[in-house]
Amino acid sequence: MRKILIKRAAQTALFLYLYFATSFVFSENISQMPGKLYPALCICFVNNKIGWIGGHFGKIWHTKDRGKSWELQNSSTTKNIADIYFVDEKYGWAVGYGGLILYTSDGGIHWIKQKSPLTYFWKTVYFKDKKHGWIAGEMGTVLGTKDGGKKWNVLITGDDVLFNSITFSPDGHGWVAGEFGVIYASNDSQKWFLQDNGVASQDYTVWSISYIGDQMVMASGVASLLLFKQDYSSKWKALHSLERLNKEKSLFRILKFKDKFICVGQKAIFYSKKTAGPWKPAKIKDQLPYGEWLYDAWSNKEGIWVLGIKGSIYKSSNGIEWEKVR
Amino acid sequence: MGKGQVREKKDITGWIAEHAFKYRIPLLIFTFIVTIIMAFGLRNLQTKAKLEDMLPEDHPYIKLHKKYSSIFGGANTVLCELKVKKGDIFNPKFLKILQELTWKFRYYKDVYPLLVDSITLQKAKYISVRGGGEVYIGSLVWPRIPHTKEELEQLKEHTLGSPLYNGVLVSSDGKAALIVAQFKPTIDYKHLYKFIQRLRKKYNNDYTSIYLTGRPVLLATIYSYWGKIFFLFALTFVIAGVLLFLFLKCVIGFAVPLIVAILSASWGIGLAGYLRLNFDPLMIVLPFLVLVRCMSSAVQKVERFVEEELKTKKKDIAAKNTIKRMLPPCIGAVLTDAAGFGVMILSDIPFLKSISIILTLWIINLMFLSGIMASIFAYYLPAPSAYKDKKFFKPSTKDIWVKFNRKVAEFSITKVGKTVILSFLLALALLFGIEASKIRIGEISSGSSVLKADSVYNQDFQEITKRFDRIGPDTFILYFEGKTGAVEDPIFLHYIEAFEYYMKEHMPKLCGGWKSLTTIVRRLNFMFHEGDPSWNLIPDKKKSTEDLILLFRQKQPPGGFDCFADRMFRFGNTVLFFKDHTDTTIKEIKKHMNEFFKIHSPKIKGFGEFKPAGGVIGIHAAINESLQRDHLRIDLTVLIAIYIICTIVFRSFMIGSFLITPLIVANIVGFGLMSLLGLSLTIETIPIAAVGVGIGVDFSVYLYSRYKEEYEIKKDTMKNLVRGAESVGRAILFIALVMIIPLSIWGFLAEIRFQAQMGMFYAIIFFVNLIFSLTFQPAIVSIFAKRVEKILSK
Repeated sequence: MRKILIKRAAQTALFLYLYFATSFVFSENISQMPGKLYPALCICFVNNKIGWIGGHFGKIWHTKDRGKSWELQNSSTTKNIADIYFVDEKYGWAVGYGGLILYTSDGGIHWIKQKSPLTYFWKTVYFKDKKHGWIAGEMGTVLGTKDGGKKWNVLITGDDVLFNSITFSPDGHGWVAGEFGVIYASNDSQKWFLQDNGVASQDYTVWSISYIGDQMVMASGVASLLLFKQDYSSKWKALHSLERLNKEKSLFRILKFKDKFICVGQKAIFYSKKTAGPWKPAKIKDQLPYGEWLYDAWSNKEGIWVLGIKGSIYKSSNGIEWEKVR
Repeated sequence: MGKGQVREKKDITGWIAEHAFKYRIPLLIFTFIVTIIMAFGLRNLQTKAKLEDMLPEDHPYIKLHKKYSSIFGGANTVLCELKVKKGDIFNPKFLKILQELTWKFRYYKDVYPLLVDSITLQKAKYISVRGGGEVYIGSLVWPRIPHTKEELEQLKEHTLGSPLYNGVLVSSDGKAALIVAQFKPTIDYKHLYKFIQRLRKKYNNDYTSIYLTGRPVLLATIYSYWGKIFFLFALTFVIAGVLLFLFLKCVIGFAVPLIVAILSASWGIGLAGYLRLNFDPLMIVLPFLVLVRCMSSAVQKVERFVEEELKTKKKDIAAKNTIKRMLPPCIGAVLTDAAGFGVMILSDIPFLKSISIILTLWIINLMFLSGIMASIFAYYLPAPSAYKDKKFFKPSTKDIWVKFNRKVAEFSITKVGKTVILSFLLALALLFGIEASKIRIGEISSGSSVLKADSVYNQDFQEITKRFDRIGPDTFILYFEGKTGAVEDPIFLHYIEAFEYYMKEHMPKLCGGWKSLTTIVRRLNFMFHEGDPSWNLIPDKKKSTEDLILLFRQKQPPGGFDCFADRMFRFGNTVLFFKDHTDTTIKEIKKHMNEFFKIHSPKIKGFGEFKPAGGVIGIHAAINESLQRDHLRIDLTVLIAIYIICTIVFRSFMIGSFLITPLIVANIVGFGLMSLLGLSLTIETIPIAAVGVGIGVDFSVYLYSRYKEEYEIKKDTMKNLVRGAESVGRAILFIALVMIIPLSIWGFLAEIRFQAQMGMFYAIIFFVNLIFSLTFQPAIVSIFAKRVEKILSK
């Protein structure tokens, strides 16, 4: 009798524990989870543990545990956030629709709006350090700042082109690219000039442009577009090495991680040891959920992360094998 | 003057009794003619569950619903899930079956064909971008069913990858597809039930399973029980008749109450038929209650007739005396019942008004049929004194019922008895009162509380709401009315989008998804920018939104766009899908909606106005608000009306109070029990509860009437209380048992849970009224003996 009572008590205690534990888990606010209600659009990790995701409706999420859990930060905006960039754990910027520029100096606890000279859709942001940064977006516009965003100056504008991505080399050369395969370059980060993208017959949009080291630059875009520049003075060349694998889908991100080049397609991640290929599909541990679009990527010394719009986050330490963080 | 003849007292009841008996033949002819006429009226009585009748007409939500339901859809939504048992739905075989099933709904006579949604219809579009930025809008499964591996894979991507379809028309696991159909307000439920049964027979097989939910399905299911309900009705009516015979053991004993009940029913319902009133079949426990009530009224007269006939041995004198003595309390009792029914006319809800009129017309005729004609019918039937075994008909002091009542009355008037009874009354009132105060208004569980939890309907409901997490049968519609072109404007779209996200964020588990232009505009904008997800937004420029909407509209079949906006873009909406329409959910929705409106005013000057609320949630919110107002108002009014009537009948506020007290306690117990059993006050239970307020008071009315008669003979309160218990108490006991037993049978045998619960509810109220009539009344009268003697001796 006594044993039965003890058993019943233990069962009840276990049930109560599980009940409260799971109800705590499942009572998590839906907006706390990136991609669950509001699609996730951009990712940034300053080290292995600390990162941010920006998304629809002005949502910014922050993690301190490698991406296992996320908390919503207050951005005070409902505009889509297209890109987010942190130079360290404290200083960061987020840009988006309708001329949105946000700045934080405390890791996102407080986000402050910075004054934008124009109300275009800002698609990309890059900062060399706490002071020097660049934004690019609609109408072929590049903005620059030397004071951390207190004042943003228009460097170029006017071309009816949407810039999607901007990149810089350590010595100050820069490239910005976007719609119709338009690429602008700069030798001093201030003055910008049009470059021929080397793709004569098609005006495929470039989604991503990335400095990959040793004066080399790569770009990726719609319909498996891959562009390569050998050095600052050479011309852009189209590579067709991913067309068979990726077909007509977009390549949203291209970047270098350790000794490999990583390309993020809508439904797959590819890697190669050489710019010309061969490219191979990366091994992703869990199958991509239906409707998931892999859209953004971020790399630092400690790892590379890929983000899907439904909030899937995949991480790799070598670019070949990927596991789902969330 | 002969033995037992009516005294030569010039009172009106004596005059009526004399003349009624004198002109009994013309009265019988009159009764016969009226019965024939009224019987014809029965043909016109409608017995349909009309949604419109259940809506409080003046409520702003209902006005909106009536204005827009045929355009944007209303509350008559059916969700039909077709599930595959093996594999997934992305194969030609399943898609062909789904298409066939979709057509069956589309061409069903009571469905709005343009408001049917399914992935197999032409209007189910996908939006994609091709290399070079070309946007393509195509139909998912039209004009032909995909059959190659690539096409099926593409279909999978376009459905499971799109918020328009994933969890809405296709389940997230790819194992089921949903058809959503909007039905018209007037539905032939009998035909619909047959349709549903045919679908179940055809599509429940080795390959597929079918599930259906929605209000039309619920009502059709209830209709299917009509035969069983009728059978139960007839069975319990027969049981009541048999019980009467067993108690009274003479032909008069069961024949007269049955005749009175049947005649009363045909008159009342026949008149309702002529007035073209509608009676909801779900309320069938009410006519049963009234029928048994008619029987009980006649039993009182029969008991008295038998008593008079055995005393005088003359049936004519017995008839006259019965009419004279029993007509006043009969009128009082009928008026109290009529008050209970009639007060429901105060409600805003047509359905309650209709029931009120039908039942009031029905019960009122008892004044004539029971008060006068019952005695005349008894006159023409074999006299009890002619029966051999007379001891059964003469209320001897050794009769078991008489003995029981006497003992109870004797105990009730002792000091201990009074203390026990009054303490018990108070304790009951307190204990159940706490529970009764918690009773909720509106549905409190998902699915349907009308049917049993394990019914096919409720099981289907659970399956569908579990598998399709972004849609539910319970819609909430936010309407918009504005200037021309407003619905294309980013102001409208941003507002709707903000509302949708706000509700989803605050009610993530209950709010599934939504259907509106926002999802389409975002999707098109996204695709127009070559599939860049950062462009999945509503543009700020009106030109951009206009162009996107135009592109979408051009690809729709005729009428396909009507559910989003009118041609001038003046009227728009968003439809949010919720998992249930319980009162908790509705309150939460209203709370969050009002919070949202505080932040974003629903009126935009010079632009337009957002107006809640339509859909199932809107309707139930309106009904709940109306019930909240009506419930207390109706119940209190019934109590006050009964109190006034009782006071007038006995010309005493004190006696009115005594009569009303057991009634109040009985209802507190009833409501407390409802709360304990997890029942709530809904559009279906409110009339039951309102009617329940007044039932059982006639027990006490007849008791006091008897006390009054006994005072005329002897002014000895204690003896009169016992004498009253022996005579009228015996009849009360019979009547109560004749009502409680059949109603309890409803509780066990009724297929529809709601009817079972309501049967038990009434049985309990009767029981409590019975107990307190036999105990509390003697107790309280004995406390105020001198005053009561003074009042009743007047």
